Parts: sequence; C-alpha cells; structure tokens
Amino acid sequence: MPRRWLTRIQKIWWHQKAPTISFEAMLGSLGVGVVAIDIAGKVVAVNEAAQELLHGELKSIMGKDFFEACPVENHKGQPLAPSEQPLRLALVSGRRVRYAGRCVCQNQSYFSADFLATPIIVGGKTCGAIMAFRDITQENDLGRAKSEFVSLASHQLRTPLGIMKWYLEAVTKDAYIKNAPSKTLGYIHEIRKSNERVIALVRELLSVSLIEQGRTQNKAQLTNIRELIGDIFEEMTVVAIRRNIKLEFTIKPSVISNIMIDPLRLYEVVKNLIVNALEYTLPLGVVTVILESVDSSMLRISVRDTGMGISKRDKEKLFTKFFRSEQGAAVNAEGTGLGLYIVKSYVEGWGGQVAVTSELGRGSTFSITLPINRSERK
Amino acid sequence: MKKLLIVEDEPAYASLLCNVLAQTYEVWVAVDGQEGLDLALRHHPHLILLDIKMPVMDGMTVLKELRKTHYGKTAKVVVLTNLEPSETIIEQVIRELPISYWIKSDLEFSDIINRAHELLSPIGQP
Repeated sequence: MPRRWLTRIQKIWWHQKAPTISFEAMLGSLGVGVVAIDIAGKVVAVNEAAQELLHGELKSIMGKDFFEACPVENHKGQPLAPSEQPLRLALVSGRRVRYAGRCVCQNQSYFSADFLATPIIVGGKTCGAIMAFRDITQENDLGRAKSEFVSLASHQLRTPLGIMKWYLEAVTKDAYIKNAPSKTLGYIHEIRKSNERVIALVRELLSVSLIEQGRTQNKAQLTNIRELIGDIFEEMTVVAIRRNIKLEFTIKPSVISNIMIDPLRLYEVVKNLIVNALEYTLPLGVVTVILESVDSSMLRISVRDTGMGISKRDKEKLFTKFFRSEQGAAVNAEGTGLGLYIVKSYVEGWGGQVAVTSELGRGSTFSITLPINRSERK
Repeated sequence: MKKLLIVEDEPAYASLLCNVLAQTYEVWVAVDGQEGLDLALRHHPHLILLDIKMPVMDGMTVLKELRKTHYGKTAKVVVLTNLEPSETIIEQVIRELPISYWIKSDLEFSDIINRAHELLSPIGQP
C-alpha cells in the first residue's frame, strides 16, 4: 500500500476516534509523569504516572506551588534555586528546558529524573508550562556499573603490563645486559615494543569506551596553545630525526595564545595526528604542523605530510572505529585503527571539526578546527 | 635522611620501587591501606606513594583518613595506580589534593624515580 494512503487512513481513523478519547485519558495513560502549571506556578494538571512517581495524591499536588511541593535538586542532592527549577525556567524564559537531576517526592524520598519543561503559549502569550519527567535511576546505575567495569578491567590489564614495562626498563639498564650480544638486546627491544603496543591499545580501548558512554572528563582550562603544540613538536622531533623526516612547526601571525580547552585531550589529539604523519611518511619526507586562525571565532591546527596518501574510498571511512586503510595496514601492521576515531570524537565534542585532504602518493593534510567563541580569549 | 612510604599491594611494583629508592631514603613498604595509614601516622614520611586498589582499605580511604590528622593535612602524597580515575575518584582527588595522580603503566620507571627525587629535594615543590 502506498505510504501516502496509509497516512490518509490513519488521519481518517484519528478524526473518527479522537472525540471519544479525552485529553485527560491520554494524559493519564502516558508512561511518563506530566505536570502542568499556570502562570502563577500553581499545578493545574497532573497525571497518574506523576502521582505515582512523586508518591503524592492528586489533592496534595493540585493547586499547590509545584516548586515547593516537589522540588528539583541537582544530582548531588543540592536543591536548585526557585529561579532554576526547570518548570519555572520554561515559564520565565519561554523556551524548552531539559534537565537531569533529582526529584524530591512528597514522602521526602527522591529519584534520579530526566525533566523536559516546555512553556504553554496561547496566542503568543505564555500562560503556563508543562513538564514531562521520568525515573532514570536504573539508567544511571547501569551507566555507573559500565564505567566501573571499564575502569576495573583496564586496571587488571594494566597491572601486569606495567610490571613488565618497569622490569624490562630495569633489565636494559643492568650492567650485565648492557654488555649482552646485540642479538639479545634486539630480543629485549622487541619485547618492550610489543608491551608498549598492548599498553597503548588498552589506553585507546579505554578512551573509546569512555567516549561511547559519554563519560570523558573534559577538564577545560586556560591553555597556551602555542606552548602546548611546541611541547608536542619537541617530543616528536626525536622520533622524526630517528626516521630521517623533517618536522616543521609554523605559527601563522595573529593566532591567539590562550584558549579554554582540556590540555591533556588536546595533547592526545595533536600528538596522534603527528605520530600518524610520521608513521606514513618515508625517510627524507617532510611533516609540517601549522597553527593558524580561520577567522575571529575559529582556529585551525593542520598536520601536512609528504607521505603515501589515502585513496578516495578509504578517506570516507578513515575516522570510523578500527578502520585501517589499505596503504596504512601495508606499511604499519601495528596500528589499532582507533586513533583517528578518538581524534574525531574529542574534536567534535569541543564543537570543532576534523577534515582530511589527500592525494595518493603525494601526501595528506589532516586539520582540526576549534571554536574560539566558546573559550575565554586572552 | 628523608623518609618515604610505599603503600602498594603488588609485590613486583613494591620491591622494584623499594630496591631503588632505599639507596637514597629511609623506606617503608605497606602491603595494604590500613598498614599504610598506620605507618604514615607513626613515621610521618616526607613522601607517600599510594596505590588505590588494595585489600583491607583502599588508597582513597587512606588519603581521606590521613587528611583528618594534623600530620596528614599537609603530607605529600602521590597517587600511583593503574586505575583510570572515575568521576568519584576525581572528585575526591580535587578535595583531598594529592600532589599528582600517576598511571603506572603510562610512566617509565625512571620517570617515577626522578619525580620522587624532585619531590624530596630541598626545593621540591608540588
């Protein structure tokens, strides 16, 4: 049956049936709590789900000031000021307000809730507000359990890996081992390298897991971006020299110095791009890091290389989890395919964008643009 | 001689740290949180390297209890762990102010030793 006919039939059904279903009955059947207030903040409607959630009877809520009857708190249990209560905020601001916190019930118990308050506007005039809310205690508990699991699992994996790392380091500094045949030293070097690979993999899997749970801690602080990239450049220069690649850092004029951002995450992002560029560029190639302003509200960090480039087909999937480009996998079998996914997730989380231009056999440029208007400028 | 306390239940970590640091400092090793707290309050070490996941009492509880005491209020504590900080731990770190939060597997052993030396040097600042 064509879709447009289906829609038409549904509409006819609705027109025929609608008069027999009262608004109250619909409100009462909703699985989420619904409370409506008038312009004075007094409750004028409350459905059964709300009464159940709030452990209150109709008479103890109707006509009462909802902010006093069932106050909303933040997730730590601190009461919100009356002006910050979602319903009041929707009433005063005339816009939709979403809030996740705690709702205090009539019997003084509480539950974690997700609130969505919307102003009721009739003839262009706000005459009240309506709020839907639901119990999210189980969702929160599940999220917390997942987070704890990831944290513990990473701990269990890191402990033996960390022990190997420290002891291998101690072994290589031992006088007896220092004089061992180069073949033996080579074996130890390979063990250390493999151990580092697993440590990096655990770190990346942990980042991915936290990103997917929306639990990355974004600790924004005033950060000198020139210095931060300068530090990464210095660290990476050692690697570039070892690979016989020229590493350059260019700061275009008029780039601001300080922005509000999580410095550790930004360090991870930029380092990831430079490590990739060095990884896929042949000796005698050039990797250039460029810091520039796009306009007064955006800045761009680009990493340009003269490496092997990426095919058009691979470019589309480059930022997806665990993806390895054909050329990339051929040159470096050790990559996890998680780095660029992490880069994209962090940058987009900051309201920025990632982009890549590339030509096979000629090189690639990876750029991230970050908004400055969300940051304190200095 | 400066005093240092290692609170670490994993013998492999504890013995390597102890072997190297005992060449320069007076070192105690506690294998669980409760023992760590007792040794800290008895000997007032100049620096405490504190693991988090330990039997009997975990490291964050040690830190909380330590901060309630006169010595512990200003004691230099470095959290040395493999545990990725959860939101709860971060909140406590902000409240109880250890000098640093180091992930063992992310750091070279020599880095840990050098940083410990810096913190215990006469001009060692957090």
